[in-house]
Order: sequence, then structure tokens, then C-alpha cells
Amino acid sequence: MEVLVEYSDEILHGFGVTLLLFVWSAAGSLVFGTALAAMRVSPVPIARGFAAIYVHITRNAPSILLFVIVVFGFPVLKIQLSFFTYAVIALTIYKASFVCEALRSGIQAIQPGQTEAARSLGMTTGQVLRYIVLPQGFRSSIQPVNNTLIALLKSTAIAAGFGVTEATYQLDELVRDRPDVLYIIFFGIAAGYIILTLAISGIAQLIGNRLEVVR
Amino acid sequence: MRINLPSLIVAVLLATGFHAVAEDKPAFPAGTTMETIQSRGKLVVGVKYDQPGMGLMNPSTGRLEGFDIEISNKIAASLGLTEDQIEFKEAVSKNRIPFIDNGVVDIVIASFGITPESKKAVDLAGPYFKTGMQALVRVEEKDKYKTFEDLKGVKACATTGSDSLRVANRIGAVPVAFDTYNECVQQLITGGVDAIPLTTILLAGYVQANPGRVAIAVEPFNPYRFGIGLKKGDKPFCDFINKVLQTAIEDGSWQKALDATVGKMGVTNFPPPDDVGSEC
Repeated sequence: MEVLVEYSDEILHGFGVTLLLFVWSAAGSLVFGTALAAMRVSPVPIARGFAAIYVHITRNAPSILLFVIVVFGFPVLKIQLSFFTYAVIALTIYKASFVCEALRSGIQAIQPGQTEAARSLGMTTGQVLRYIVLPQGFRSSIQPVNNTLIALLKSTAIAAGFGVTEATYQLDELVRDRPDVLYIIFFGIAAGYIILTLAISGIAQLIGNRLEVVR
Repeated sequence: MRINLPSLIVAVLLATGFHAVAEDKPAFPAGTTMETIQSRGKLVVGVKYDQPGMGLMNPSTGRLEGFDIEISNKIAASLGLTEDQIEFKEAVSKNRIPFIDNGVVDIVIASFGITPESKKAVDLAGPYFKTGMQALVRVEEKDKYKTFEDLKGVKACATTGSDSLRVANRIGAVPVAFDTYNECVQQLITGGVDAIPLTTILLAGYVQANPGRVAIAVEPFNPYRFGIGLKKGDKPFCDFINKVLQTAIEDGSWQKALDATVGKMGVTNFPPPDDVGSEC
């Protein structure tokens, strides 16, 4: 176990980058996913169609493929960003569709009578979304979104193969230097991921306790 | 007298020593790794699939080629096995030590640098090849990089868990890890990274594959000796491989194998190692 203490600098630095990757791509996919969900339930056919096509393509593509497209495709289009930014973009593209579908399931749990009532009061589509649909949709989709975020945290490990020095990258480095303690290093890094996912679930639980719709 | 054709053939074969083929196999003491491999009838070798000149899977023929493959053939022949009795497995930098430890392969011949770190985990026969480290850069920036100190602060790409990544760290470059060197070269060409620090011999293959786009820069630094990885503590097997290498160097077949593989890539001047057997 001393080996984990000996390399704690590398391990902590790795998880620091993992956490940053997670926070940025979680923020990105929550914002973008919400926009997509709004499009999917909107009365505008073009918006509905676009969001549906987007969700079906990205949700069904292997995430590593999206990484390849972003990391190798952007430079060809003369878009030069850091590898960290590429990873955030790839993860956001991927996870936004899952957030969108989680929110949409929450929205669909709202009885259509509420939307009709709001409309009959003269609310616009934007107002219906903002005051009636999305607040309730968010509340009832806290757990599905939590699931998506846990999956997102684990997906950040893909970035290790695309130039980002996060926790899994450090795992590869340590395993090379200390193959004699391979299993200790491996389980140490795995434990780090578990601690982070438990923390995410804990936060989601707290938010859920305060906000979730009680039926 | 009528000549019976089948019996004539048998007589001729007997007279010309046909039976010698069956006894051609060298004998090894029971319980040695050599004997185990021989009686199994299969030598399992971990090699690289993506390094021109050393170990490359040729996509048009589906066969492996390179200097590491030639060396594998020599070792197999000395065990009394044919080339068809070698099973190659793809070894990348980070799995080659576990491959040896877990018995997935008998030996690893995969541009495996002899370093204090690698010697801690496995035994290394050889060296069978000596080279130095240089850096692959974009052709128009070739003059910017004269010595390895010019790599300080630039983005240096290498494969995850490779020794080059450690060197990149040590010389103050910003390490960037990808899964394969082909991805590194792609990133170098499109500007995502600035240099690929790697042994000269491996870089030569990438220059050949991307003429006019990338070039080798930087005075050679960090001399490298490639060894053949095997399970720690197997001294008889290590000695055996060293003897094969030493013989090949002395009878000129080492040079012939080099000329047929590495020599075709426009980099020459790799003298045969003079210290085979210094590691075990």
C-alpha cells in the first residue's frame, strides 16, 4: 500500500484532471442536453427533427469514435484546441443526448393537462417551458441524470488515449514503472473512481431530497 | 531386370541421408525453457505491429516483417522450430512486461529498451540492437530543434505507458499520450503536438511513410540498447538466446537481416552490439 502513498502526487494530479474533465463536460452536457430536450418537445418540426436525429446518431455511436472524430477531425478543419478541450467537446457531444433523453422522460411524466392549462392562460411556448414544464421535468429526472453523470465520469478515462494526463493515464505510467505492484496500483486507481462516483451520487441524493417531486 | 520405382526412391533416399532431417533438432536438458518450447512445438513471441523496420504488420500481405521478426526466426531455428511454428502476439509498450510475467509469451522482441526499470521486472537477453533517441518534427521546423534541450516545453507525443513518455517528462517536454505512434504522427502533421521523441530506428520508418512532411531532428541523445525480454531468473534461457545472437553476429547473418529490413529504410550505420550477454 505504501506504493500508493509514494506516488500520491501523480495519482492526485491525475484525479484532479479527471475531476476537471468531469465538471466541464457535465456542465456542457447539462446545458446542451437541456437545449436538445427543449427542442425535442417543442412544437417546431425542424427543431424536433434535428434533435431527434442528433440524439439517435450520438447516443448510438461508440464514444471512442466521437473522440477520434473530434481529436483528429478538428485539426484537419484548422480548429486547433488543447487536448483537454477536445476531450470536453467529445464527452459533451456524447453525453448531451443521454441528458436530453433523461430530461425528456421527466417532461413526459407531466400530465398534458398542465401544458394545456398554461396555454389557455395565454403563455407562450417559452413561458410554458420555463415556468411549467422544465422545472418539473428537472425534478423528476434527477436520478436518471445522476446515472448519466456517473457514466460520464467513467467515460473520461477514454481521454487517457487522446493526450490528456488524467487518472487512467497515470495508471498506465505507474504500471510501466512498477509492474511488480500492478494490482495495488490498479485497485488504488479503481477505488479513486468509486469514491468520485459515490460523491456524485451523494450530491444527487441531497438535491433529490430537497427538490424531487413527491407523489 | 525390371526396376521397381518405389523401392528405388527409398534406396536413394536412404543413401543420401534423408533420415538426417528427423534428427536435426538440437537436444536440450529436460526441464529447461528451451526443452519446453521445443516439445510444445511452438515459440510464442511478443512483437510490435506498427513499427516499420522492426516489427510491422504488412496490410497487403497480412504478414509481419522487420528486424525483430528476423531475430525471432533465428531463435526459433536454433530451437529446431520452423518459421511456421512461431506464434506472434502484438505487444505494446505497456503490456509487454505483464505478457512475460503471466506466460502469455515466451519472449518479447519489441524494441524493448534495456533500462534499470525494465531490468527490475524481467530479464533481458542481448542487446541485439543499439540506437539512440532523436525526435520526429514537422519538416519545416527541422532547424528549430538542434539538441534535446530544444524540446523543453514543447508538446511531445508518445504511446501511453512507453519509455519515451518518461524521457519526454525528464527532458522537460510536455508529455502527450496516445495509444499508437500512428496517432502521434497524425497529430504531429496536423499540429496538435510538436515532436515525437523516439529511437532513431523507429523514427526512420515514419519519415519513410510520410515523405516531405516529417523529418528527424535533434542530435542523438539517450543511447538505447534493445534487449529480448524473458521471465526473470531464467538464466539458462537467457544464455541460450545470447549464444544465438552472438553466433548470428559472428557469422554475418545479423548484418544480413539488418540490411534486409532496417537497411531498406535509408538509415544505416547501426553497428552490431559488442556486449551481448552483458545483462544476464
